[in-house]
Amino acid sequence: MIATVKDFIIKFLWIFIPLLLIGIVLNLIIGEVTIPLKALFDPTNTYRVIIMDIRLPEVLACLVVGSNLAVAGAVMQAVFRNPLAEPYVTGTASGGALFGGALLGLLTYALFKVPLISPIILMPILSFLGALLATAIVVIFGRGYWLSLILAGIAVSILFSSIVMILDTYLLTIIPTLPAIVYLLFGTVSGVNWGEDIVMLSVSLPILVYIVMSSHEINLLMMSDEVAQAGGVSPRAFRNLLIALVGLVTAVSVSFTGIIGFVGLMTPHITRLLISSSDNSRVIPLSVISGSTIMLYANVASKVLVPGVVMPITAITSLFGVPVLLILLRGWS
Amino acid sequence: MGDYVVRFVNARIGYEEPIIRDIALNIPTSSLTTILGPNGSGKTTLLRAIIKYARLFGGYIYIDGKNISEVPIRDLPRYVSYSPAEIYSQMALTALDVVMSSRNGGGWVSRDEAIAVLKYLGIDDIANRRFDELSTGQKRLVLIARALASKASLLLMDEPTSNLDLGNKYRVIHTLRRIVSDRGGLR
Repeated sequence: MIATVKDFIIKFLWIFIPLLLIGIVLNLIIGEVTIPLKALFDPTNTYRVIIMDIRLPEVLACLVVGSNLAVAGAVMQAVFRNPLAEPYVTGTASGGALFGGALLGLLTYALFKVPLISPIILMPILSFLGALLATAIVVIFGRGYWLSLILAGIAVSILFSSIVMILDTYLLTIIPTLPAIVYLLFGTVSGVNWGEDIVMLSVSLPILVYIVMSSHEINLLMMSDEVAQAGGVSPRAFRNLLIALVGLVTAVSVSFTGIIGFVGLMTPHITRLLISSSDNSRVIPLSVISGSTIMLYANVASKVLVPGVVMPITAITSLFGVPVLLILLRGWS
Repeated sequence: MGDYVVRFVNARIGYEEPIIRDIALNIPTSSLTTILGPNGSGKTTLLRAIIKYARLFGGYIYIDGKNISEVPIRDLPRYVSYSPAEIYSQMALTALDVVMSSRNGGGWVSRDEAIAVLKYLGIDDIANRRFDELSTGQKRLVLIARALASKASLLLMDEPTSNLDLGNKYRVIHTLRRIVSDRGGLR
């Protein structure tokens, strides 16, 4: 009897559900202060504050951002019919970072002469505009050969990242009190608070639910435009809608945790490999689980690799993501 | 209604501008009709016009007596199924996944229905094989199974026998003939 996809999915869940739960526990106990495992269930007041105000918001951010990036990657790979597509590679994330962070600083300063008015609302909106702009540039210039999408994405990423750096340096000279926004280029969940979590969750959850429910239609679009059209799905309208939705979940993630690279690339591929299927009605919901898990462990690694310092998460995710990218390049060229 | 599954009445079709002008064409119900022509003569455009993927600049196209201009895209699967020459399949889809991506009216083809169609075409042994690892001939048969599973009265196939050797060409055409002659019983 050959193993069917169902068997692989069960195996996948057996691997990832325990990993996910252990990941949550590790994130709760590890940090500047190590909390004993026993204290999780009966915390002292100090531990309770650390858990409730610092560690739990971080865990929730890992779950939301991991899910967002993983689903964004899976959708982009299907919609562009390109195994290398993901928010980081296609410039969506850096576009979001530029507009969200740098322009917010300039805008609020120019308008109110006070830095950062209500960034919790303005940031995601500006990031969304930036994400769409970057994606649009990449789609227009990267048309044709499958590698051109990636080249255009990398070019736009570098361009937007350098603009963020220039604006950040400039802003800091005119408004020394402005918190540095260069952090947006490196990615970290440390310092995320409940309010930011709630904004991220309320934007992401409905979109993720809609995408999971549309996964059969996404399969059609992945096959060919004509197949989608004959299957009752207008390819151009549906593709644009998906790109916008994916831009939105990417933007809201980037706004609060910065650019976290390659989670969107490797997670769907790991999921497909483990369940031996590219059927998006399985890949997308399972990528939510694997993406969250990968983010949890990346965050633990960012806290423990150099004791006392929180490393940029992108440094960790790139360490694993870039080899995946290289292997894919070799396999598909 | 029932005489012609497709009618083109003085249709002008194309993309930015019309490339096929004033075409009149009647395709009888329960028939196997082949459109032949040199490369670039507009065969694919003709098929795309039926699924509203090419633009209709003038005239009318009817499927099952229904003016396609009045059929919203979401209702197209009730009338027509489309089987392309190729699908993007770099990623791992099984033959069964491909068949199950077919519409069944408003819903999707079930696993049992998909297996029944694969059995009918005598290829149920490859149901769980990866589509991208199948031979070109097997891929074509799976795409035909996909079209067939939709139960639409019109099955459009773009280049169903291209890049096939003689034996596989024969097998595909034989299968199509069999579908047409069995069609009454299958619906």
